[in-house]
Amino acid sequence: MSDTLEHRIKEVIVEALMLEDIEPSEIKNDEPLFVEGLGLDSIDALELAIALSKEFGVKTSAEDKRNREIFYSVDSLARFIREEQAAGRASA
Amino acid sequence: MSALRNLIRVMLIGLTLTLAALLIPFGFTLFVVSRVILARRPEPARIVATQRVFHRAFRFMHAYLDRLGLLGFDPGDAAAALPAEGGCVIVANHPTFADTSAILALHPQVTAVVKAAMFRRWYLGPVFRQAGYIEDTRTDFLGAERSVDAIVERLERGERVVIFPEGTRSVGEGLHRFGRIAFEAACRAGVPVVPILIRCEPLWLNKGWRPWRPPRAVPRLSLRALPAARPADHEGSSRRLRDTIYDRLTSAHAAEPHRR
Repeated sequence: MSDTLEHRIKEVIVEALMLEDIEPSEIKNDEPLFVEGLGLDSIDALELAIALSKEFGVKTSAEDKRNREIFYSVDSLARFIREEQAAGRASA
Repeated sequence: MSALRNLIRVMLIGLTLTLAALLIPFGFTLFVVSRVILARRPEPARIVATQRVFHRAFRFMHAYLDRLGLLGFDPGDAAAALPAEGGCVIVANHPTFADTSAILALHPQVTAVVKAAMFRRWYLGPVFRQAGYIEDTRTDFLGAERSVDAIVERLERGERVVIFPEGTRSVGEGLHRFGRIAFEAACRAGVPVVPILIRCEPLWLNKGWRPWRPPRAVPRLSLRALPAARPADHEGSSRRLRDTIYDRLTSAHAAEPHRR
């Protein structure tokens, strides 16, 4: 299950950001997504936030101070999505 | 003779920096005074008038530095490359801390996108707002949308907006990776991007510069416009537009590297 979530996040990154020369499997789970590592930029961050919201139903606000930490890597995104989904189930 | 000339230059640099240190932030009171004078005007007229004040101030500053033999200034064809009418995005490499003033000295009506850290300083923010400058919010994660929206609004009003896509001064011989805010805004507004190559020969006022050790030759800051690029030729993709401009600037920069 965990591999599926991480892999789906990678697919969303490649599809939403139209990364033409990268396969999802080439993205490492712990690799930084922004600046160094995958080299995404501030506009990619916006597009990725929208795509993740559509795909997984999780939202972050622009004012959230944890954003940099949440969007650091595939691992950190997966952790955030799991936490949000668990919180959603608990409150349901 | 050469040693004496160098000593005089170092003294002039010291004097200029001392004046700058004394005048900033208090020198900006001049701009604040102009703000008070212009405050009654409605916003577009106030921005136009303040940008003209900035333009004249920076043109004077570069003429002063050129005349004293501290920093030569050659605006080249850059002013002529800006569209006579309609908005455009001006992007440039960023070798020195005089690059912004050099571009603002080109034309009376240019809107600058200013680093958030500078924009939020108490003595600079009011002046920048008075001139209608835009805060670069890309350092706030997921904050880029605010900058893009503000830039698009200005471009649609026909303004020229300058942004340094490296986000900071260039280091060494290469250029930093380009951010995409400038190109995303150009695509949304459907305006051209005009790249300007800035050179400082020999390199000075760069990161880590030492005021008391100027280059032996008088440094010369020169601007050269490269061919503009249009979103329509890049299928409206800000990524492709960014890559085209990056290639043009890096190729031109590699062909004319800065001499130290």
